[in-house]
Amino acid sequence: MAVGAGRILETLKSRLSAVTGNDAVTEQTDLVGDLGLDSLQVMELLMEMEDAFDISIPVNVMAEVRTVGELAGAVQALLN
Amino acid sequence: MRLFEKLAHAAAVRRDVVSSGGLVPFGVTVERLLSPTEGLVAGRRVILGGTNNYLGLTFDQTSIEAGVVALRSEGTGTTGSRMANGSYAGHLALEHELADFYGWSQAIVFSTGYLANLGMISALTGPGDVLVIDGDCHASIYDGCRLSGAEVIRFRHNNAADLDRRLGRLGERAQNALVIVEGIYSMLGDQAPLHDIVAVKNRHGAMLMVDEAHSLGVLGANGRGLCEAAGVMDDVDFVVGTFSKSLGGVGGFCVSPHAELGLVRYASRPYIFTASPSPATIASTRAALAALRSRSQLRQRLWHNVSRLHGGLTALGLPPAAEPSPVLAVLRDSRDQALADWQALLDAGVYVNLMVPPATPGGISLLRCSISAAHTDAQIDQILNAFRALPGAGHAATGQAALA
Repeated sequence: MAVGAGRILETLKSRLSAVTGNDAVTEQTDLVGDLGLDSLQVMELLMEMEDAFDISIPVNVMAEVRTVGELAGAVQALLN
Repeated sequence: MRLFEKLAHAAAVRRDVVSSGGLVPFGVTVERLLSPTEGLVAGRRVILGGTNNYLGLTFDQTSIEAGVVALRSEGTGTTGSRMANGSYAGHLALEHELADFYGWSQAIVFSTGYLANLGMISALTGPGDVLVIDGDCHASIYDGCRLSGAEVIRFRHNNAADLDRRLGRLGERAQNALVIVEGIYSMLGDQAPLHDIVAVKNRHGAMLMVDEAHSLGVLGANGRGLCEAAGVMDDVDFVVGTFSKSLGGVGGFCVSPHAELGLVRYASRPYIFTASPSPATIASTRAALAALRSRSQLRQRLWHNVSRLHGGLTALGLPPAAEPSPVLAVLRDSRDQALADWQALLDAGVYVNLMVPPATPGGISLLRCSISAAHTDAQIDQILNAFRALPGAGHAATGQAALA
């Protein structure tokens, strides 16, 4: 499936802006440290990305993910 | 020390949740038990309206006597794990009785319900396997998933279509997946749509585990739980549960029609590396299971109380968040409102559970009642009277008229 990194990032940013009201989300933004997402919001975000790109994202992936860019990278890896 | 910094965060959260009466609602001390449904909290006599003591068996005379006899004849503890010196005749008898109750061939007793989930999930699955769990599953299920090292996929709470989509994405791997749901969910008291979930997992060839912690002794014609009530016993691979709610003890179990369950004993670290339940605990639990099986009037009494409280709260304009169940959750507008209401209920002589984020799904705050067969009509009415004084309650609806 040819999904560009840009589209993944844009999808993530728009979801995060909607949830947090923060319009300044970048690749470097820390999901918990900067946006204050709690664990349930992180889980919900994962499910939304699963549905948006029709993939399975194991919850375990989040152990390695802190920033928006890292999550986008994890999604990209699962798509390839 | 930096190690203590995350505890400082917990301390800050705790400071934040102190009621006007100076109490921290989490870990309140019950200073003295007066009965299955009454105790002393903060120096005052209160109705215990949040204890999971669904059948009211904690003071059942037969269970107490069985425990006393075992304590005198077998001692205070087993001083060993089930795999070493900690399997007594009583442990095996309880396993036999649990298997017989479900009409299945196999049962394993664990030391707590928490350990039953850790022990089962981590023994059944490992790296390379897939667990597909309801997003609102209990912490013990999440922790079992972590211990297993398997991939964990969540589906939206009680949404069989969402489960279907997620199993579908797994392709052939779905045939080796373990789906986990609960009979009754502990926060809102809502039940899994088990009929639909079974149809989905059958279509994908996955296995199914149902945690009946809050539904054992509560649902089903014989009290086996939601699997029995939904008529899907033949489609379930594993039922896990606890002795610490309807059976009034402490401990956990898994039952299964699969002969392979017996092998879990050799592969389950939470089974192998912890002490087995004490002889008195086992003896009391066996007596309580016998009571659960023979005294269906306990279940009838429980549901009578559920109807009375659910109907009463609805009439007050405080409708519980889900269908009638022994867990009734009344949603509040904010955490601070829930905290103030919790203290007001306590001042009125009623203890319930306060549930606030992050423990709750969707960031909601709620007052959680759990109902017992041992509650009297008068106690249910006192609980209702306490709720009647809360903001948002319809003061016009009073007395028995509200229950009609």
